[in-house]
Amino acid sequence: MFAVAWRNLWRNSTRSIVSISAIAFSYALFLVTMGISDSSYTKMEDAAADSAGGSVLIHAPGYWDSRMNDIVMTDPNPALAAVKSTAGVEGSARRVLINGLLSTSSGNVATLIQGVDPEEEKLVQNAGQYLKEGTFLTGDEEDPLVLGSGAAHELNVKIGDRVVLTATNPDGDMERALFHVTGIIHTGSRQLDDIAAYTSIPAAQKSISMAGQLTQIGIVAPRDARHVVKDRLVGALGDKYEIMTWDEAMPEMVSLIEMDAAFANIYGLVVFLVVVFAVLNTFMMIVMERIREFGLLSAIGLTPKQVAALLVYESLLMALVAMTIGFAVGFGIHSYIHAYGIDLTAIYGDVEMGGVVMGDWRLRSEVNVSRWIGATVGVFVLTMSATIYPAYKAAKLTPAQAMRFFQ
Amino acid sequence: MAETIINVTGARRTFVQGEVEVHALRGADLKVESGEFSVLAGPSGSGKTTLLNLIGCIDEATAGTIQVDGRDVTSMQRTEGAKFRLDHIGFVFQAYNLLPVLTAYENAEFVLMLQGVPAAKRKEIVEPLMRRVGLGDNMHRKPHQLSGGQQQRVAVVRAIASNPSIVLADEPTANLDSESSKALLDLMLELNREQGVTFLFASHDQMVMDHARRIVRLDSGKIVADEHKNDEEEE
Repeated sequence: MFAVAWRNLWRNSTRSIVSISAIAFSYALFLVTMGISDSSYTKMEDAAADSAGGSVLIHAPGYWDSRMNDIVMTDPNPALAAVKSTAGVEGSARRVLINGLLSTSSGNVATLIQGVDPEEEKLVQNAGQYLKEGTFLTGDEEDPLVLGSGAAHELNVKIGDRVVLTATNPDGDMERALFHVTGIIHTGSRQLDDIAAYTSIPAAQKSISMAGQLTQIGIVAPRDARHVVKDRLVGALGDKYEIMTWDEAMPEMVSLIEMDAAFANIYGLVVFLVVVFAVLNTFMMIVMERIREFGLLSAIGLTPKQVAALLVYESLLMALVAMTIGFAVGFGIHSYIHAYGIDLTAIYGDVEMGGVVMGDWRLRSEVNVSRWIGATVGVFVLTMSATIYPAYKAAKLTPAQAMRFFQ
Repeated sequence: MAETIINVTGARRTFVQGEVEVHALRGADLKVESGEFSVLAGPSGSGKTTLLNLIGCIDEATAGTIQVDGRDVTSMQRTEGAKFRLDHIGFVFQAYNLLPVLTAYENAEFVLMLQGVPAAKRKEIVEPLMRRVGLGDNMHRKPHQLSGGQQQRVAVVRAIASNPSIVLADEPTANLDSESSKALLDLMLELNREQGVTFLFASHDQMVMDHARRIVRLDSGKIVADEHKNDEEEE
C-alpha cells in the first residue's frame, strides 16, 4: 500500500511538487527564523546581563528598588568570600555606585558614577571598550573620572578638566568631591552616554566616605546556571544580602523577549495554517479526481479504513519528503548564518532595547534542540491533520456511489 | 446438481433524488448456479446494474434478501462487506478498471496482495493467467500503454486470480470495438468452460447476449424474462 501511495503521490507531479515546496519552504523558513530568534535572544540576554552588571547581583537588602546611596554593603567580605567559593561563578566585579550631580562652570549633570576595578570589569560590562578619548582607569590617575560622551558634552569638559561631584554619603550627609576627567566613552545609548561615569573603587569610596564598603557585586555565571548560582549564594549568605539574577533585575527585557517570541510563534502558526489549507485543498482535489478509483478499490475489497489509510499514507509520504527537504534547506541556511552571520550593523547601528544597548547586529543562528523538535512535530501534525477530512470523505463513499460518480 | 451461488428474493432498491423517489428495482427474484455464464439484459434504466451492484454487495437493498455463496450480504456492515467481496467476488467494470499507477501485472495481482498472498505465490498464479489472456509480453506496461481490450483482459485476470465464487461484469464491452469485445467474451467463455468460473454480466450488448447461456431480461426494475439456451443454440 505504501508503494501504491508513493506512486499516487507522483501521478500529478507538478501539483505534488508545489505542495511539497510549500511545506518544505515554510518549514525551512520556520527553522531559520527560530534559529535567528534564539540567537538574538541569547545575545539580548547576554547584553542585558552585562547591562545589569552581571548574571547574578549582590546588594545590601532593598538597594535595587530604591538605588539610594545610603543602602550599601557595610561589610562586603562575607559576600566576597561566598562568591569566591561558590561553584559556577566564572568571575565577579566589585562596584561602588553613586547617584549624584556632576558640576562644572558650564552646567550640571545627574549621574551614576560607578567605582570599578577595570580588570574585574572586563569580565562583565567592560565599559573600557567604548573608550573614545583618554584612558580607562589605568591606576595611575588621581581621582580619575571617565565620562559618557553626552555628559562630557553637557558639562563642556575635555581630558584633564576638573568636575565636582555632589552626592549624599551612606550616613545621609551631603558631600562634595573633586574628580579629573581622564577619559570619555561613547556607548551608543543616549541614556547611558548622558549619565555614565566611571572611577576607581578607592576614588569612589573616598568621595562619599564609604571606605571598605561596596554597593554591588556583579557575578558572571553560565547563562543556564544563573539561577542555580543565585540559589547557592542565597544558601550561603541567607537574607543578609539582596541576591538577584539579571532577569529579576531587568524584567522589562524578559518581557520584551517573551513578547518577541510570542509574535514569532504566532507568525509561524499563521504561515503554517496557510500551508495546511493548501495541503487540504490538494487532498480534497485528489479525492474529487479519484472518486471512481476509490469506488473501484472499495469494490474489489479495500475496507473504508484501508481507503482512508491510502490517503493518509500519501500525506505521510508528502510530509516526510517535504520535511526532509525543508530540514536540509533550513539547516543549511542555519549553518551558513551560524558560521558567517548576516551583518546588519550598517542598518541599525547601536540601538537601545529595554534599557540595554544592542551594538552587535551581526545576526547569528543557533539550534535550540527542544524548540526545533517541537516545531518539527508541530509541522508534521499540522500537515497530517490536513488529510483527516479528505480521508474521511474518501472512506465514507460507498462503492456504488463512487462508481456512479462520472456516469 | 450445481450449487446455488446467488439467491435473490424480493430485492428492491429505491433511490431518493431530491424529493423524487426512483424505484430502480421493484422486487427481483433470481437464482444463479455455479458455473453459469449469464447476463442481466435490458435497456438503460431497467435495473440490471442496480441488481448486479446489490449482488456484488457494493450497494444496499431497500428491501429483500440477497444470498451470495450462502451468506446474506444484505445484513453486512461495510467493512464486513469489503472483506466478503475480497474473498468471494471478482469485478470487471465498464471502464476505470485499473489503477493507473500500477503495471498490468501489479493490477492483476492486486486482489491477491490484499488477501496477503506471498509475492512468489502471486507470481505463480498471475503470470500463467497473464500469458493465458495474451498479455505475457505486456505485463510491465502501465494501463495507459495498453489498449481498451488489453485493459479489460487485465481486469479479468485480477477478477479470477483469487478464484472467487463468482465474477460480476458490468458492461465490460461497452468501451470496446467489436473485435476486442468478441475476443474478451471468448476469453471469458473459455475460462468459464475450462476453469468453471461463474460469470454474471449486466449488459445490453447483443454480443454479450449471444455468448451467454442464460439471459435474464429486466425492464423498469423487474425481471420480465429468464431465457436458458441449450447447447445447440449456444453453438
